[in-house]
Amino acid sequence: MNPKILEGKVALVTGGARGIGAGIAEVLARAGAQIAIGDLVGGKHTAYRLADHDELDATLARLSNAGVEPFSIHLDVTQSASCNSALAAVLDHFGRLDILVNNAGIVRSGLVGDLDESDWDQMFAVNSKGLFLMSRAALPALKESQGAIVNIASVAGLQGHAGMSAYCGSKFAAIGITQSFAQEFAGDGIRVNAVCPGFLATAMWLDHLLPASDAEESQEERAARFEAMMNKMVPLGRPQTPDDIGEAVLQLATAPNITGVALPVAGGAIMR
Amino acid sequence: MMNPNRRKLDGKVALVSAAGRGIGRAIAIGLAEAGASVAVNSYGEETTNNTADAVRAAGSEALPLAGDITDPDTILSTANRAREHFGRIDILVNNVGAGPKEMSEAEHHALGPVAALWDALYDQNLRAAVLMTEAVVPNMIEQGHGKIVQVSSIAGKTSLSDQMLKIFAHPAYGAMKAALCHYTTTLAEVLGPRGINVNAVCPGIVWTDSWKSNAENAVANLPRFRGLDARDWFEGIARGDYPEIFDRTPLRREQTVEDIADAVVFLVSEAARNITGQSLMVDGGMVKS
Repeated sequence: MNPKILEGKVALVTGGARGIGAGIAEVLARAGAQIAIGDLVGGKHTAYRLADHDELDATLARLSNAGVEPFSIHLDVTQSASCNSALAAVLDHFGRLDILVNNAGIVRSGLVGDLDESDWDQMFAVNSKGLFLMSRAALPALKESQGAIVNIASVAGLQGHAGMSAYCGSKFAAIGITQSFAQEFAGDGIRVNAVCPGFLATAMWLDHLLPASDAEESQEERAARFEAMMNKMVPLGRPQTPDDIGEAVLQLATAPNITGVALPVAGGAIMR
Repeated sequence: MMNPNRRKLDGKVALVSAAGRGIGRAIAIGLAEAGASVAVNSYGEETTNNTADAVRAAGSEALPLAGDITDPDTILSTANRAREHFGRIDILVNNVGAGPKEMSEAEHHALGPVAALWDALYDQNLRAAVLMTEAVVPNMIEQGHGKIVQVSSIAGKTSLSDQMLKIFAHPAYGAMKAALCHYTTTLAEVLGPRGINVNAVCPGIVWTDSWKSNAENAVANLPRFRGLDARDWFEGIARGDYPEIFDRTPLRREQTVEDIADAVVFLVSEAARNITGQSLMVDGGMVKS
């Protein structure tokens, strides 16, 4: 692959302020793309802290170091007006859009009896409906550029788990939406694929999904415990990284004859 | 800070079977372009040498190893010669595979020809890939790393139309390719803890010898296509003009040998270091997975 395969292209990464989204943006930037980051920044969630301005600034600085001038916009993927205006801002700034990465997502675990209806609704609003609102807003621009959409689903979109019904349901939906979009947009020359991340040391895991420890522990100790857990859970014996997810996004965004797939990047935790 | 280009394969050694033409040849060239040295196998001397020349033209070292890769002795000697020459094998691509040569006859006979067909397709599509993998894996385990890619098919992931099965693709072909995908997952499970990634690529419709012969067969033997140019017929298939035969490619175009090579190079590179046990469809959206 030409290391600058995305020269002259523009990518919008939702939820790109930190974590997986930031990793995706960096890989696409290294491949030559201009980057727009859309993020809620400072939003509220009951289970863990969402991205803040410091994290966004750090990501923008890293992107600048990678040689691009990133453009960042406030984006709430659950609101169609926000999606539409973010898209308009990207087009206004860069003049085109080639790659839409629907990465924004939230998680909350909980047994059915403990889940609030509002938690359920919020997860589906961000993880499922967000794909619809953002992709619909981007469709005309992607038609023009013959571009690609990559949805960040999850291994939770391929297999259900106790205590994860809302998250798994919303991620199964993401894969169904991906397949449907792939068929629906193929005639317009737009390809649509999903990447299914496995287990990463991001806020979702370290601040929420990792089971609580009996003892008081530092962030480093939590990270070490997460790593040890992955060593047992994953055939390749290690967690995945935002870079790994970014590389898979780059591959699917540039492969002219791949559409409709959901590719797990999970160290073999799920195989299909 | 990670390597800015994790897709480079500089210093790596690859062995590619059935690389004399088509997809295998493109994979050998793709690996060479990414920087890998390539041991090239194909059935005939001439095709093997041609691909080896193309690998050298891409700036990499080539070792031509002609031979029938369905034969266990040849499998073992091919793996050994590659290892002796380069010192190790980092990447194995099992591209070996073939459709049936004389399918129509099987319809007119009962068990004899059917059994022979299943045996032949097993030998060419499953057994050859499995035995080569078994020949290479012990050393990969010893060195603590390795990348294996099986070239499977859409036929290993979905059923084909009644017409396709009657005229072009015996059910055994899909069954063997499905087995290859399954072998990929079990192997990935076993070899993951040893630092070895195992994946499969499933090509859709590619203008290779196999589809060429389908096309020639169609325009020669099917009344409604008689007189049509074989290549034109194939393009019609890719566009979805003959849905009774093949009608499930949303992107409405053929896949290329380079598409397949690109997927293989990705899967054996550090960019895919945390991908294992997957069958990646490169099929224009035909199979929903």
